[in-house]
Amino acid sequence: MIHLHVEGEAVNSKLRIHETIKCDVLIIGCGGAGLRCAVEIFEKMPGTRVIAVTKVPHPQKSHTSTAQGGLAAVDPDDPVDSPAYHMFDTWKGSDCMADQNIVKKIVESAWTQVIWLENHGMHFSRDEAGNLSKRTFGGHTLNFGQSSAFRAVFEADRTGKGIVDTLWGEALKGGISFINQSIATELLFEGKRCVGAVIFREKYGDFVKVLARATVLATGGSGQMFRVTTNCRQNTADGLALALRAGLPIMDPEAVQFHPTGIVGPGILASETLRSVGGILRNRDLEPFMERYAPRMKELAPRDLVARAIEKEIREGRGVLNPDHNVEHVWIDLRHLPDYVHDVQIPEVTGFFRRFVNIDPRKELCPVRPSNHYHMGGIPTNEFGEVQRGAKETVPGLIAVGECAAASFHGFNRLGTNSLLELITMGKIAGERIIEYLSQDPDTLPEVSPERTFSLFARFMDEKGEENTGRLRQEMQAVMTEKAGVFRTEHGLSDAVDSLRELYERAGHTSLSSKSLRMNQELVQRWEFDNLLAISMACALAALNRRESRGAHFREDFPERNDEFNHHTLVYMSEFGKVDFGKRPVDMSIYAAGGENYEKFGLIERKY
Amino acid sequence: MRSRYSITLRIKRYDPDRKRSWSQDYKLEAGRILRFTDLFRKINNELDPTLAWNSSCEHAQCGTCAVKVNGKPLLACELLVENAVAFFGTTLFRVEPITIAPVVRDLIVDLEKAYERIEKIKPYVIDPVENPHPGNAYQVSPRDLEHYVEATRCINCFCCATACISSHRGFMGPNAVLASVVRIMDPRESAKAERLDMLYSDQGIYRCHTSMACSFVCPKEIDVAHFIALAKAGRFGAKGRK
Amino acid sequence: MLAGKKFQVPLFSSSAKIKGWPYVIAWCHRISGLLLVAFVLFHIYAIQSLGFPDRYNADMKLYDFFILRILEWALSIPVIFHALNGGRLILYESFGVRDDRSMIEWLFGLAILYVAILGILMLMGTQSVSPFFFWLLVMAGGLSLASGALSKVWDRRHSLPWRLQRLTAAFLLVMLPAHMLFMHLNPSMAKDAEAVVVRLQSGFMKFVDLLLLLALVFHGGYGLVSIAKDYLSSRALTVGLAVLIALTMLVAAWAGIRITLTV
Ligand SMILES: Cc1cc2nc3c(=O)[nH]c(=O)nc-3n(C[C@H](O)[C@H](O)[C@H](O)COP(=O)(O)OP(=O)(O)OC[C@H]3O[C@@H](n4cnc5c(N)ncnc54)[C@H](O)[C@@H]3O)c2cc1C
Ligand code: HEM
Ligand code: HEM
Ligand code: SF4
Ligand code: F3S
Ligand code: FES
Repeated sequence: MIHLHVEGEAVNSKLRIHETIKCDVLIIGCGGAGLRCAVEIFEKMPGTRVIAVTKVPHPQKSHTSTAQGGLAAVDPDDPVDSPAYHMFDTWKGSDCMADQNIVKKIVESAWTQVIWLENHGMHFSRDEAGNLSKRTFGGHTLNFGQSSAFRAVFEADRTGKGIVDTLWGEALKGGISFINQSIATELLFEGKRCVGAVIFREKYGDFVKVLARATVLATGGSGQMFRVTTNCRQNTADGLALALRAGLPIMDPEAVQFHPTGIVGPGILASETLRSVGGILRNRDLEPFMERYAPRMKELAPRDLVARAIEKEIREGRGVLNPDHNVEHVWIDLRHLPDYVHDVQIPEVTGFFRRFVNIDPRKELCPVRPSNHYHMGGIPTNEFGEVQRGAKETVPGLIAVGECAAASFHGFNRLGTNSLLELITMGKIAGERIIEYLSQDPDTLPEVSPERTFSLFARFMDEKGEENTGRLRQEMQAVMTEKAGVFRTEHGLSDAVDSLRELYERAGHTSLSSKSLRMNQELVQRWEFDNLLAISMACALAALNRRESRGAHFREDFPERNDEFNHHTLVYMSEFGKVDFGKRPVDMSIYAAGGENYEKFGLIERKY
Repeated sequence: MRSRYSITLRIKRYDPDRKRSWSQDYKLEAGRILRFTDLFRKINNELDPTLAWNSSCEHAQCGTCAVKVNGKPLLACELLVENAVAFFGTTLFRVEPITIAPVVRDLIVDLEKAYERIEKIKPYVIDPVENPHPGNAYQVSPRDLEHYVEATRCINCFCCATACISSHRGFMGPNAVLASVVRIMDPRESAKAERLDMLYSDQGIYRCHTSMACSFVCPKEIDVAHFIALAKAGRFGAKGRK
Repeated sequence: MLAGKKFQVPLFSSSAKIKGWPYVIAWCHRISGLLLVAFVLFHIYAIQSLGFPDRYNADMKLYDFFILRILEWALSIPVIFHALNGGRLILYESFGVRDDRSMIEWLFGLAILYVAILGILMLMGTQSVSPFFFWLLVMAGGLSLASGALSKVWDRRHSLPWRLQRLTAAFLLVMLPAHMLFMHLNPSMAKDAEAVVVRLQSGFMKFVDLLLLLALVFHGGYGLVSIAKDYLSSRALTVGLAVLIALTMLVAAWAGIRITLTV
């Protein structure tokens, strides 16, 4: 006992800033978004001191590397496609919640950014003529919904990896400093201006303070809120929680997308490509049931529709039970596809089935079910990626890009391939904005001290009790999946809120088995759990608040969309479970400009 | 087909605070298609929260979770219990960190150190060739791409480097060679001479003894040895130094 | 030729399962290389007594012991294994022959054949062939193989010593197995100092031996340095060891040359 006590004290005295580092730009998160931003800065302003922090052991291990299918961009040389169609698809997909100024900006710069990536060495798949190959993807159409568009460029089924590899290389070339396997635990402010962050370096078990003239949040998604997710282990909503703790709002946390075809068990994503190359969904009776839900688009309907269709089949008893993981699922049938498709177009995905469930997709049906996939909600930003404090006011020095941000390009439902597009376009735009900052701002950085990090970590160190963080997290994930997942109801959501409160309470009774700071996963997981709980709570409360169905947010008790809710939700959380709601209007500038086809950008119906 | 297995993981552990290493047995009940990462998580949740292990995507697509199981370097996130039992013919598994960089704790190694070698070969286009159609993509024939596209699939899991007969001191490692070869074969790169100099250096291909363990263990099934041999056969461009 | 099953050699198969047969074979190649270096050093030392025929003959008498004969025969295993596998490596690396499985099967097959033939010869022990004729043929084989390899490995980017190691390997691939064969075609050719000395009066035979010696000393020396580099990270240590190896090999070469030229 005495020994433990002494050790505990020694640990708490280790909770101090070990080193202070000054730089021009601090980037928190090295996925596609963070890296693209860094590279833009190097290109335009060589010699800028950029520090990038990532939670994973190396930037290449970031979640973007896992993205498979592709990246949407309209080729100006394409005789049939047009940016207007892409904007329309995005707007329609978003269920009238995307901000049209953002949509226009991103869609119009898309092709330039694809070319940029290609010119910097990304290994895009090619057609016979040596140009970039394109393929179709769910929700992307020609002529305002008439037929499928060949709009997604891709690198086989590892597009995200291609992007990260290219950007990581370019960032190295630019002279970036990485701080790997480290977490940002607190944003630092001088008055209202963000001036950096506190970083906990897991490998060394110490804290460094990074003071920066501009700080970028690019921490990615929050999939670990749910039990079955395609997201990586590190996607624990850290960035969103950092913002909330700093008194900033998060926007539309209830807008969570479920990918219709996660592979049963690990939840690994069986890419949309499977459906675009002709995979057919079948229920227990082998009926191709999508014909009933989306007669025209069938398997190519947007994700939320397909996800709900599958969930419905399962709920109505037409699913199949997998005994190992104890989950119900439907089948995706790939048996009729030619060998060429298996070998060339989807080798990695069919490989997944072979590897992860021991199934040969050429001969057998493959088990899939909806799993959590993408968080449309996030830290609200304007069209330059600047973080907003309210509907208009921005936070000087703070930028957010990528999945953790909500600009909002995706509104309430993201189209496949639109996320990678957002990373590379918004990353670049944010980079440009930062360069403007750096050229205006005086090169002075104030000395500020962290306020919350040490009390938070000391609390984790001192907590005593029998609870286990891992198990609590599983419980939370189960609650969120059941009550705040694909189908939501008033009753279920209130239950979820109560359960989350209880879990928060119980989390106070976890005691760490080791008080070491060095590579202490239990400690980091405890911290992550706090983040997950906070964002889950925000999600559940916002979902409760939104008494309508829109995009991926489906309320069984309010199955229709309701114009009354045609605004973004801003959620502030001063302490756990105590939220204030704000509103941000949806930008409808394309509609308001009244140009050609403007009527397609009104409050249109979302039917496929 | 059995549906459950009683297995034992004998995990090599290391505590950096006390600089002590030991091995510890964990007995688990597992379903047939649970993966080793699921098992590690299970250990954290049910037996021992202090066990440290690494993973990220858990899709076999990032290379973070590489460990040695019964001596074989592999990705823990794609090793199913059922396959492991069938392959190794036992239910006792020795799990160790990969031997390519210093251990930080338990199964976690300092990947940053390992990556230094990849960074040395400059994993980007050093000097792009002039684009005949500025503002457009380069045209790359799918035939040309075919020759090296396999090599672009490397996820830097370092399984190959762990298995290689050359210990990892003087050698840049199979995956660094691979990354080099990709850019040498990439028609958009013009700095071939610089790249070849790195490849034909003392840390380069001469440290490879064609033991081909790299191709054998690569979880992405890349024929690494083939690409290294291409360099030995002098297949890249004009002979002689510029 | 040899079906997969035959590869289930107990000592190796678990390792082969984890890292593949070529990996196991690479280790065998390394170990056989080391054994051969050790043997060559000892061998050159032993030949030094050619200057004193009685001592040489007395030394050679020792080989009549059963155990030593067995050992002598056993030496053919690393020789032939290393030679054929070295040939395979050159085929794989420089000639683009990448079908490894069948190459490994051929390698095992040929090696077993050679060892068996040598064993039979040793048991019979009475043949007699004209040395000049024999070595003329062998030299022609060795040199033509080496020149074949030359065209493939002579990329000027390659480090010179590496190229030379491949060349000597191709040359030795013919020369070394032949050397052992020859010595057993008629045992007295090797074991009787007089016979050896008489043979070595021929300038051509001196030339053959010296070429063999130089090729070997270089090849073995480079091999040792190459192994050392795999394990040493400190530059000073590597250079130090390389110098030490070079010195040892030079001394051996010098001793060999001296005795060849003086007898
Ligand atoms: C399986 C899968 C397939 C997908 N396929 C596609 C597709 O085909 N097309 C498409 O457009 N989109 C796709 N997506 C979506 C897309 O991949 C993601 O939305 C996108 O990669 C997010 O990128 P990001 O840069 O915002 O974040 P990430 O790539 O998740 O990177 C986040 C970074 O932040 C770091 N980080 C997190 N928290 C902290 C912290 N506290 N401190 C420090 N660093 C931190 C992480 O380590 C990481 O480096 C897919 C997603 C999944 C899950
Ligand atoms: C008989 C014909 C021979 C051939 C065809 C041959 C071929 C080769 C080849 C191709 C290599 C390179 C392997 C690599 O890439 O590491 C090699 C390595 C080596 N050889 Fe030979 N060799 C022969 C004879 C010998 C002899 C007689 C000796 C001993 C003096 C020897 C000692 C070595 C050593 C020590 C190595 C290094 C092994 C390693 O790096 O693991 N070789 N040989
Ligand atoms: C066991 C079988 C062997 C016997 C009986 C044997 C015998 C001899 C003899 C008698 C000579 C003297 C020169 C001559 O007659 O041409 C000689 C020279 C030589 N042998 Fe062998 N040898 C054997 C195996 C080997 C092996 C396995 C190697 C290499 C690894 C080798 C390498 C050499 C070399 C390099 C020379 C030349 C030495 C010089 O010219 O100084 N021998 N050997
Ligand atoms: S070549 Fe294969 S084993 Fe080696 S790092 Fe790349 S993916 Fe891993
Ligand atoms: S395992 Fe190593 S020895 Fe060469 S062929 Fe592969 S790099
Ligand atoms: S965790 Fe990404 S490869 Fe296993």
